[in-house]
Formats: sequence, structure tokens, C-alpha cells
Amino acid sequence: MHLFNRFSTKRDFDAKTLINEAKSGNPEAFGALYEQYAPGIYRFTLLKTSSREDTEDLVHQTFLKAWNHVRFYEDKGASFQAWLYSIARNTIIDYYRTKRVTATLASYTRNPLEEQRVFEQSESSIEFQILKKHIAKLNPIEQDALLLRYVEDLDHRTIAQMLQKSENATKVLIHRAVAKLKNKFDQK
Amino acid sequence: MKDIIGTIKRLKHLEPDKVYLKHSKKRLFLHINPPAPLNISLFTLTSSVGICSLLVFFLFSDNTPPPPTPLTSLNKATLAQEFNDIDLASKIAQVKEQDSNNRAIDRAIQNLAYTGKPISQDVIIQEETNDKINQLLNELL
Repeated sequence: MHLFNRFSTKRDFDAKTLINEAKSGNPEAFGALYEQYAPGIYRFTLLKTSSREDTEDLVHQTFLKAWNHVRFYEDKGASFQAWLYSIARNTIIDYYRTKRVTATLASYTRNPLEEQRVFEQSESSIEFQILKKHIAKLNPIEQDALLLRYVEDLDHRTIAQMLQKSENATKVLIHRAVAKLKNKFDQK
Repeated sequence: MKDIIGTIKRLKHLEPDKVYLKHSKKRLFLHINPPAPLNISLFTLTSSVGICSLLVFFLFSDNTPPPPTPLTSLNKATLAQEFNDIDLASKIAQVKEQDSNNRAIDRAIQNLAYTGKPISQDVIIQEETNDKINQLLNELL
């Protein structure tokens, strides 16, 4: 518990130390990494799935997979955060593959109460609803690129590695996705 | 274009509530760090159980042999049922008769041993019937 208390303070957050500790099997260190990265993984998953229950389950699966494979993680240019997003992305892909449902953000708007709870911190719910509706019309890889770049703040190089594309191709992909969105807003 | 990007960026405000995060972390910890088992080895546990069982067995078990119970297989009724095609009563009568004859033979042999008289014809006849007795007994058993 001593380690956990030390690691759980965000002020002292040192990803490298925590990752090394987690790699050597320290669950408390992994817990601190969870606290740091879970909100982002949750948000990314929530924007890609249709319900809060599924999101919670997928986030749990993502971190469980991460724990099971963290000893194999090596910093080869991609950050630990990017590694986690890759696991989350694959978990979501598997989810849609097994559930045979369509990956759309539009389906996310099915539950207004839940949406209200999630968006309680947002300034304009209507604006976000429209945004989600438009993002949902993009293809899955454009959605991923857009969300990872502007919501999760990952750089082009990291996103390129995750999507297995060149950096330039990723920049073009993101630019095209933004243009598509703008076009849809302008049509409104 | 910048307006669109700014709008997308505002999705960053989406965050799970703290109650969920706490709960999910606990759930994750249950999987990755299950509660430690009791610090008793399997060997210690099984030996203790074994010793206790033996103690209970020796304390409460009755070491005196059980009273002899009549063999049901030798009951007259049971035998009759088993050998229902044999006239048991007549056979038993024959055996009894033969038994008394045997005793007569024994007495005759004892007499012979004392008197040195030659074996009478009766004894020879009796020995022949002895074979019949054996045969009868074999049939019965």
C-alpha cells in the first residue's frame, strides 16, 4: 500500500518509473498508470461504442490486456499512452466483430439520460450532439484519427504508427476528415 | 476549419465520473491482484485433516468384535429354498443314520484294537456305506 500511495499522487507521476515497476509485476504501479490513463481510454471507447455498460466492460478488458502484456512493452518510439490506445482500438474492433454491430457514433445518442450525465461538463449539448452525428458519418479509421489527434492529443507520428500508415498519409487522412466535417456543418 | 477543430477538442471534457473510476479500479485490482490465500500449505492442511480423522476413528470406533450372527445361508428354510429340488428331510435322516453307523464302526475298531479279533463283515459293509455318506454330503453341500 505504501507504493500505491506513493504512485497515486499525480504530482509525483513519473510514467517511466511506473511502467518499469508495472513491467516487473507491481500491481500498485499499474494502478497508478490506470488512474492516469483510464479517463482518456474511457472517453475514446465511449465515443466509439453505443452504451456506457459496453464502454465500461471494454475499458476493463483493455487494461486487463495491458496488465497481461505490460512486461513485453518496450518504448520503441511510441508512448505507453499510444500503446494503451492501440489495445483499446483492437478491443473495440474485436467487440464489433463478435457483436456484429455497426461501429457508429450515431448509436451513442440513443440514451439521452446517459448522454446528459456524460456531457454534464459540456457547454452546449446540442452542438455536441450535432458533432457526434457528423463524426459518426466518417469511416472508422477517420474517426480514430480525428479523435486521437484532437481529443486525445496524440501526435501525427504516434497516430501513424497506430494506424499503420505513414505520417504524411495520416496528416492527409485527418485533414480530409476535418474537411468532411466542415462540409457537413456548412450544409446545415 | 479552426472552428471545427475547436469544437472537436471540446470533446476532451468528456470524463467518466469518479465513482466509476474508483469502482473500475477495484474491479481491475481483483483480477490482477487477487486476495492472497491463507498462509497454510496444502500438505499441512491435508495432514491435519488426516490426523483428525484418525483420532476420531480411534476414539469412537468399537474395537470389540461383533457378536456372531447365525449364518442365514445355513438356515433350514434357506437351504430348502436353495436346493428346492432335493428332499432335504430325507437326506438329513440318512446322514443321521449314517452318523450312528459311524459311531458303531468306531466302537468296533476300538474293540478290534483291544481284542485282536478279525474285522467282521459288518464293519466292511459299514465302510462301504461310508462312501455313500460322503457322496450324500457332497450332494447336500
